[in-house]
Amino acid sequence: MAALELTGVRKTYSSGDAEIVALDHATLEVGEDEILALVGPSGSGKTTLLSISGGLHTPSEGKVAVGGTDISTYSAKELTAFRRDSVGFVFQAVNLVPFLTARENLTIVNEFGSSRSAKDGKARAEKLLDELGLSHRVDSLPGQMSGGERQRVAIGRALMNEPALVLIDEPTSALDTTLGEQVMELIVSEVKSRSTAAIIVTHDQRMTRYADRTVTITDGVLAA
Amino acid sequence: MKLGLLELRRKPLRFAIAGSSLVLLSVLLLFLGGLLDGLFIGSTGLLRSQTGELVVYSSDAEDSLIRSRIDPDVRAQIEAVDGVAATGGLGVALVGGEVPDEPDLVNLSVTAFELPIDGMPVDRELDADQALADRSLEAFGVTVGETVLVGSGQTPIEVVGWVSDTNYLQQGGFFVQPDTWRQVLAESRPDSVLPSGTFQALTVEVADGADSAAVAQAIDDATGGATSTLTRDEAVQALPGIKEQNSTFSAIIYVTLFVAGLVVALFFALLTLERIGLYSVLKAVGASSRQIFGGVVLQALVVALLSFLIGVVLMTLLTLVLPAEIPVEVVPARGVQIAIGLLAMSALGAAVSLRRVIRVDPASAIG
Repeated sequence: MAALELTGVRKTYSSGDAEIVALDHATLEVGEDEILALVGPSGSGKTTLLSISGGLHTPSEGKVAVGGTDISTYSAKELTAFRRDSVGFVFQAVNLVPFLTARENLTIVNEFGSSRSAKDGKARAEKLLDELGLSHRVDSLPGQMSGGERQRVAIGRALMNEPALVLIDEPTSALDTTLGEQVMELIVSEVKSRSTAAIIVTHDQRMTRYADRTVTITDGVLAA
Repeated sequence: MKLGLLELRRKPLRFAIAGSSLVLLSVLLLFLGGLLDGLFIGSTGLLRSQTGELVVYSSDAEDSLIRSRIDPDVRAQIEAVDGVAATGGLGVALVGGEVPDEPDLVNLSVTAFELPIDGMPVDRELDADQALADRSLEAFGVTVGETVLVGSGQTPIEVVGWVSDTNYLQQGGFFVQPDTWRQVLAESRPDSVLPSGTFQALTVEVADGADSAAVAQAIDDATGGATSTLTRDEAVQALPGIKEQNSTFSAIIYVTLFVAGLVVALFFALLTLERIGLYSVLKAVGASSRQIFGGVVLQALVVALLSFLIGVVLMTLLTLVLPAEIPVEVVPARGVQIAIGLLAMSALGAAVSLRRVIRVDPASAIG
């Protein structure tokens, strides 16, 4: 079963009387443990594709299935639960909660749901942080960490809910080349070790070598 | 929810402006409430301390103790009514008193009574030159054993014991024999002298099992409309200025609570604007609008509660330094009422942010 299946997905926005097509009949399949790099110029539709795949937006047309479940017609409430339980996000701007420690930034994902116990969540957060080489930063606030450490915490947060699909937006844009490569290696290692699928949006062609496959998007149209 | 509490704990200064404003508003609310209760208590203690359930005035007095007159004939008619267990004469003279070694006159409510009053020392028989004084008079230099020169005639009356919460129209309760009261009245208010046996009002103890309202009606019927009989609570509310005082202070308190709600609304509206980026990330990783909004309301409630508690401490300190002339009484029930009002208005104020929280787009977390 594919981790992500987009079939004829179209996303349009209205701007006055005009209709802007952000994604034009996109069809894409990402395997269960596949890492896909999505590249394209600014405004090409990368973020829209990521948003629709992660249940942040619904498509105007077409079908979106994650882990075999069609989320195209989900309500806002169902999408919230879907994001909480089935996908992980790593944002370009990291976006950690500034007044929470590294561990709390992970366990908060657990606390939004009701199915996992706090004790299990804490243990899982500590295990993830340990794997990410942050065992010494468990109780540190984001302001006390370096950019690379914050990015690693963000990766941990994305993996906290054991997602079927991880969506990663420009993970290296704020890091120097060396640190960027370290982060990419870490992402690949963590994602592969869990047999989880991932889509990595990047401008940096050098980072595509970490992916199993690269897909280009231009003006909302996907090209293999 | 937990997120909101953690932010409060780790970033308390972020809430300092709202908290400080609410502390000041809490002190103001407690002060206004204390003033309202102080004025009420200081005006109505005489009637509230009566053990009789009913108060009988002459009908032409329009429920005013000072204007009312009940003569022995009317009293006899009242005592003959079914359901009346006992009657007691009541009379008041508002006069000044000289306390030895005190430069200022003290305001006294010299009161004649026949039925015992609440908190009165048991079996206390007063001589003609003796009185039980309200304990609030201690603040004006009155002590047990002291002789106070009462009224224009400077009648010497010795204080032989205390009673509490018996003041009338902000004048200290000073309970004496009826003859002593008549003497003080004759010396200080020659135009108000009452013949022996005549009182300004009667208090009535209702027989066990009898209905107070029915007995009140029966009394007025028996006297052919010469009397106006009120329950004790009605008599309290009929005192001059009480209703106006209550409505005025209540209006000020409600307006202040409304202002507290506005302060919270404004503060949390700004805070929500500031946090839109954070909320979009939280929504993107699975937080619902309900969870985020719940955290905002919880923060408002905690800030309001902590501010109120600090306000209580400040108000307690303030009462220690307030002069005795300012009748502020901190009553726990009023504090609870203000706390509930403040919390409710804070929750409502925070609710203003609901629409904005709901409209936060989780997709904005990824640009």
